[in-house]
Amino acid sequence: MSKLFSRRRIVQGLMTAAALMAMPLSALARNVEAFGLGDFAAARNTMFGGQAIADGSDGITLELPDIAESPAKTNVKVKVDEAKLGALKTVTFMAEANPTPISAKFYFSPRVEPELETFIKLAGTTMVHAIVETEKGLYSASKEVKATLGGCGG
Amino acid sequence: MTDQVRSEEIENYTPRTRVRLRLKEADNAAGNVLSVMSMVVHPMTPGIERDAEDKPVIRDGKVSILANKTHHLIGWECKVNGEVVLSADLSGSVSKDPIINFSVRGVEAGDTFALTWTDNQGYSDTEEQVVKGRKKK
Repeated sequence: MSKLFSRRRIVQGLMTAAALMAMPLSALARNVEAFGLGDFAAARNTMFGGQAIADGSDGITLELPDIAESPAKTNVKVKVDEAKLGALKTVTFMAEANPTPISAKFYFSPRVEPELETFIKLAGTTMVHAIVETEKGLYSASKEVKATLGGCGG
Repeated sequence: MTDQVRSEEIENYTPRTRVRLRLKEADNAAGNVLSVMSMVVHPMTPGIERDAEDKPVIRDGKVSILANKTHHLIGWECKVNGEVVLSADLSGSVSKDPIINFSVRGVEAGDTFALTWTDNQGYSDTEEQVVKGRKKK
């Protein structure tokens, strides 16, 4: 037992943790498996290792249209209140009905304002989720967008 | 279509990247905010295999992707003076000609901004610009 928790072990552990934290953003590998999954829940669990995701609707502002006029180009804006949820690390956009539910995962450095705008495809009426990872944990905000025509051509 | 030759659209693609920068200058540089509007001219074709009813074909819980037809960005990265500020992993569920708009703090006139991306067919592009300040009155 004493060997397991020896000072050397603890020092080694701390050094590994420090090395991991010093990794540049670009070194974070794309989660190829999660991007390849067609089922929303499976893709989400694979991307976030099955960790619990708390409701972050009071700290995340997710702007989406009620009805997507052109589902292939749906405007999405996200803004994170860092005072409430902690320093922003990543934002992942997911659309439940899409054949590829994960649209994009963004990695924020502390220099970037915690807000972003992009355009995603929606394969019909679907729940859209913004899953936010901060220093405190995982949070999500969601909104249903109605679309009459799918926008996932090709 | 069973042959694995890349489609004509993919063969004829020419990478193009557009970036518009606007620097809002404060009294000291730490308070400066650079707003970035970016667009990559790209088809973002997911290349999903579809059945007779136009439904995506799922094999082993995974969406069947036709390797010779799929063409979308996978990596996207912005740097200021060589330091990564925002990066992304993308899929074919992002709209054609991906637009990504955001802001970076603490940027000064004269700093170098660079956007680099790569796609799943081996194309890539970098757009580099020097940040311009507003003319002082």
